Amino acid sequence: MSNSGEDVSGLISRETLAGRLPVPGSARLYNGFGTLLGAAIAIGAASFNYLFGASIAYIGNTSIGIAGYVIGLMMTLAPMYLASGMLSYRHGVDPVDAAKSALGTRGSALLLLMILVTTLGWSFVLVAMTGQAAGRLQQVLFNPGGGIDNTFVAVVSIFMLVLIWVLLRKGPAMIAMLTRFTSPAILIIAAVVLYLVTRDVSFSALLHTNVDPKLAYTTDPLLQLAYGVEFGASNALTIVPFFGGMARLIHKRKHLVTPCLLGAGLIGAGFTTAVGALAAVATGSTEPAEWVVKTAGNGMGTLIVTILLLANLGTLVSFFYLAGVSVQQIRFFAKMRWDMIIAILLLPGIVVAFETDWLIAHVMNWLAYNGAMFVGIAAILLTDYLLLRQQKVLPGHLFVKSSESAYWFWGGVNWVAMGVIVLGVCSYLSLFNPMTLAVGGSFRYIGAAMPSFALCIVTYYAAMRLVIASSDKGGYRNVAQLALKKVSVGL
Amino acid sequence: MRDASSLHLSGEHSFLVDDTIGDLDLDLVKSLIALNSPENLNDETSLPTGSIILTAACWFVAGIVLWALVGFYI
Repeated sequence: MSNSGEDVSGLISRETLAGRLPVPGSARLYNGFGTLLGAAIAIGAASFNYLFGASIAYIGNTSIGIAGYVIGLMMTLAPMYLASGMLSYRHGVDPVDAAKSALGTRGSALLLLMILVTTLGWSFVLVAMTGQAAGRLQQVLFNPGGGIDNTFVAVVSIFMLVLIWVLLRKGPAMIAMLTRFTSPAILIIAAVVLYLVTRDVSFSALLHTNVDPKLAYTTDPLLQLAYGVEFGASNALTIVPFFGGMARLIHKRKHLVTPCLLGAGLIGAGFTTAVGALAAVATGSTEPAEWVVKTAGNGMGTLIVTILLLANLGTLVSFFYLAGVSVQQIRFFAKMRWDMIIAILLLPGIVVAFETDWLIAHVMNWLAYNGAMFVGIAAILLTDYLLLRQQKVLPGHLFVKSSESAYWFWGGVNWVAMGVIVLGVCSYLSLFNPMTLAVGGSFRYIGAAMPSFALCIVTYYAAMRLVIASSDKGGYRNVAQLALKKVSVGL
Repeated sequence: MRDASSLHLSGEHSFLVDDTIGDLDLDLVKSLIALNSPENLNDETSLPTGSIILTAACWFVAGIVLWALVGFYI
């Protein structure tokens, strides 16, 4: 008996944290508030927040935009953590496996696709931005008045990819160790930048400095606030596919919401985006490498930008780790060595290294629709686990690949959930178009994410109640009997 | 072919396992059995989650209230 216990423990330490095996409570990685806060900051704080900061500034009123953004993060992150984290936290399962109980055994492939597209999309944008920022720095220092050396940009980008691969070979323990250094570095840099932009102008004066009204998105204060809230909500919605991966490594209940919300939300995304907004109105530039050198001078500016670029590694390894774990849903990858999986995921980055301008312009546009994509999924996950199943899920059935699974629904897909996801996209886009910033009539009072989220919750709950009343589909009834049923499981 | 006695599966469980099972799937079965072990069922992760929901609700309500307050103030 004790031998088998040791075997299980040994297997867990060897395999689970780098793979898809359920992680029991005793093997969870994040036991302390500080470690988790650091990891959450690494996910929330990244260079692209400085670009979001510029968007906040262009809302038209800097202080209202920043306030709205922080409010949007606060009110949206909490329900998103419940939606995407509760089941993963309870049973230690990967978010794609967790989603099978709501989307169906095969339907959860939709979440897998979204995880891969979003993690890899944002990661490659960050790699491209790191290369571009290094190129801009090299141009400012050694070729003032000239253009950016694209070969140098490509070399830096490829160097980052190699560095990510070397670090990720060590598994998630390396992420915890790395973010212990990169997260404080990101915050220190943001604080230094804040000091630099407020050196000649007081903080209060800068907070009340706005972009030219002709360039602003709107001059209506309520609409400015709603834009800020929606930008924050949109950022919060992108956590939906990722958070389960973090929640399955958290041990204490009291750590599931607050340290993550403070780290990824208010400190990581909120503070750095606010600094980006203030820097944009202070310098009139939206390019971090440019305004850092402008405000700090060549010597100090170079040092700050270099640390800023290296600190991106914390975010990048976190994103690629989540993509690497998720892709093991595909049998081909599940049998592969971890370092090979990471190498394959990083491979498209070599093309990215030579096309950084194209990537930043096109991929970032597409990623603006993240909010619309995830609002329906979040509503379904939350409603299904908390309201319909009353938190009773059979972890074994999440790994049954046949119609024997309690979560097989219709052909392996919960088509009701698919319909609600489409409804969520339509509802969100009818209230707010993230590309054109066109809004519906009610947007200035209630935004787009929250009403769409509420609509999806009500619709999904009502539709699934009808399904539950008329059939045994989805394993909502006779859970105790299903738990005793002998099933074959597999990864 | 695996020797069935090497599987080391203890206690009652609801998984169909034969001696052709692969290493990865055997690891999965062991992990799922470990989830149902008395030690894990008494772990903090398996306890009631009311406090998690309450904490999230507090953050959500605080955000809504702040939105309303700032909206009235401006």
